Amino acid sequence: MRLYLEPSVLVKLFKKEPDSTRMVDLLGAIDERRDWFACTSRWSLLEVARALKKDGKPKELIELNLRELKRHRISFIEVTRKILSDSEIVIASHSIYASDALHVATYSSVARVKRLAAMLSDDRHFKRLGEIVNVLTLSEVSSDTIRS
Amino acid sequence: MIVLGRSLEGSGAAAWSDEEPSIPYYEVYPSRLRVPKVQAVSVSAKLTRREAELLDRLTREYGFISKSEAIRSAVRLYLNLFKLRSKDRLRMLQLINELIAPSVKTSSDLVEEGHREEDEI
Repeated sequence: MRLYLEPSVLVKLFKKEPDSTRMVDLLGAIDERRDWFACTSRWSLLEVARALKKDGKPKELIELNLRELKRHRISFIEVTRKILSDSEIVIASHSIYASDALHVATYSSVARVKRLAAMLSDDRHFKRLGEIVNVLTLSEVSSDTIRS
Repeated sequence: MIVLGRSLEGSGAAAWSDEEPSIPYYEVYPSRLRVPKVQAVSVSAKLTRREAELLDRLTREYGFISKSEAIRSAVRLYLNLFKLRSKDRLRMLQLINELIAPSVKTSSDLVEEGHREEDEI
């Protein structure tokens, strides 16, 4: 499975909440299996850092979490001028946050080349982005798919 | 700052020779620097006053023989975490995060709050 990871699922890696174990298993599959691939925008690192800061995590723990995130087989896509101008177009035509627009533009820019199946997101973001891009939630990725 | 040097254990030149030392040495991670065969590496680190006070307390309360011993133990704990398989390491990190800063907010809420901040700016 080839996925774009939206920040709401990346933050789950550092919290104990519904589907966080599934997310750890999924990243394990990405690390260990050649038929799995994951990418995200480099901007996601900032969103994850901010979310962890808002969660009250100390500086050292945030830095450790980010280092951990970079250690895995996730490809971080640079924020280019093209992606920024595509994001502007997405914002102009849809009622979404700037960060969401950036992820939609990044996903769209690499979806074909990287043969992405979907953007992996959580339920709330799915509702907002599902109309624009192909979005999967963690609960839609079955445990069998991750383990097989 | 990292300082590499001879182990204090063993005597002088013997510590640098090819002979097996009679005193057992700790196995340490090899340095990338080109250093003659050494069995131990010394690392120095600057701590803030607050960290030094906490280290003093930790050393006393946990019965370490010295601050160096406490630091060594902490470093080994950290290195052990990084030797785990990716999935196990993430599970451990999840627990550490939850123990150090438990929170009732979900990932979704936190990311959402960040987005709202950006919009307010």
